[in-house]
Amino acid sequence: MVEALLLNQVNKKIGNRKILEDVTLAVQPGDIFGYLGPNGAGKTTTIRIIMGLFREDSGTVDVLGENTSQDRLRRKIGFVLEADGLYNNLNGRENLDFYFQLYGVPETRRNKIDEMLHHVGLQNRAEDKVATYSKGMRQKLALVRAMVHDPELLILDEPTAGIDPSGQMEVRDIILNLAHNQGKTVFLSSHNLDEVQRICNRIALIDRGRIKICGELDKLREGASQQELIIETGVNEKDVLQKVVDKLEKLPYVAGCRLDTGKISINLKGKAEVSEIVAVLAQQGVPVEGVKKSEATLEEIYSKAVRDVE
Amino acid sequence: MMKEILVILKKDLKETLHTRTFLISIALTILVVYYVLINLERTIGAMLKTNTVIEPTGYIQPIIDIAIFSVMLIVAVYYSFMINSYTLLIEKTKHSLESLLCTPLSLKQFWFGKTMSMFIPSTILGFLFTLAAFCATNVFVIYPKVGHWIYPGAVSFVAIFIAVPSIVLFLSALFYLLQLIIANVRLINIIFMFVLIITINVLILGSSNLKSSWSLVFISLGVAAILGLTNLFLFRMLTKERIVLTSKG
Repeated sequence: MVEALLLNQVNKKIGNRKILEDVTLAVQPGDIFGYLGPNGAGKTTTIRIIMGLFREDSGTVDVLGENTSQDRLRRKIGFVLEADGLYNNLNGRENLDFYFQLYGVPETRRNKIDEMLHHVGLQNRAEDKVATYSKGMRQKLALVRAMVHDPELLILDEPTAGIDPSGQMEVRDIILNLAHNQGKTVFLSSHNLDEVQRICNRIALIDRGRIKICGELDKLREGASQQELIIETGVNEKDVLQKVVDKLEKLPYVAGCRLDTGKISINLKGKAEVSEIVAVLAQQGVPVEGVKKSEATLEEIYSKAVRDVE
Repeated sequence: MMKEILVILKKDLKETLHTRTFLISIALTILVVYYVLINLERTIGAMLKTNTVIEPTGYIQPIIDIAIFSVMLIVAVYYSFMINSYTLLIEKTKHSLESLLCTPLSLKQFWFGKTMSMFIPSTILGFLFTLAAFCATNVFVIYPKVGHWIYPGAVSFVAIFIAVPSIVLFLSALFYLLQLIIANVRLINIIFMFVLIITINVLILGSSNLKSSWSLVFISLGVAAILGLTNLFLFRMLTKERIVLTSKG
């Protein structure tokens, strides 16, 4: 299967400043790929290279299996850049119509303008000049504009930046709908960790031009999780649980235990044998109601990656 | 390619023609044409006083030819700058240019489309104002003094349909090209407006001293050719990267 997006050891300098260093990442079709990083990390430059606005100094960039220098490739890509690029002196419908015509979209699809505007709740503002729109409305219109030619891949640069929380939720819902119901691949640049955690299945983290982490979000969270197991017992007698803890602490992969009401938190220092732990509890007559492994949040992964560099 | 160019042209006109700036420009143009008329009246009046025997068409027609050339050039170049600086300044500062460059338009289509969106309306406006100035000159200046209309010579038709459009086309292209590759758009605007004002004054004040309007047309065609070559040379410097990097606003 051809990757929707493949960057291989991409380097880019602007003036004397290195903006990207050996950036390598792959986005699979159907992914909602989160591209994270602090301000000035190189996110927008990466997007500009993907969109063919900048030429990479070295490395390769393939979008939907084609080289980015091909103008026709951009017929398959929809985009919302950091600045929405809408024309203030035109109304919402005229803005969309301009792009419909630029992409040479057939009349049958152009008739769907109303439907598309309705879908994002802008049907009543279609005839108003874009200058009168709120930031959230502008972003929604920009998302509709990105979809006028029914692209395979959507490149979104900070699509919720500067929008109020309810607007952010609406934009997120639109993105999820595009990915899940319309089968679009989404490459989303953001520094909003919560947003990325909510909607993305894969992420890459870039800092100072270098990719720090790249992969499936669930696996990254699992890998970065503190080695801690939480056993829910339903037993509240402290002395009973203490006996269990004494036994557990003798296991070679247990670094320490902590008691909480009805729970034992076990810090691990190696690969744990959950069945052995459960067996210890069973020997002491303590029922096991649940075993949970604590999961790192994206914020923890992000902080760790950025801190490691510093 | 023509389809994309027309789309850009239509959008730019829609954006520009509804603005207050455009209305102010119309008023300014009327003032310039009025200034030309006053100068023509003075020049023609002085000539009629000194040449009482010779048939006036012979010496008034070259003046009309030069006036037609001057008005057409000034008005067309002015509107070309006005439309360009208005749309480009906004597109660069609001970054809509970057979005436009992410569409399937090639750099050539983009540049040519933008040039056409300056050239076509400005040439049409130049032609309309020239026609109005010609009629006004005959109605208010020539007819009361000579008793009949004096029509332009063949040189005016060459000027209106070939020389002036060539200059406007290549100048518009050059103006847009420079604005795309240089970060300080306002500076380019000021320099071009300064050059335009000097040209207006040279043409208006110097027109009465020119003996042959054909020479003006040939000079113009030469200038157009130089501008065309300059465009070809500078186009090699035009890249999407340069446009984006000079669009910081």
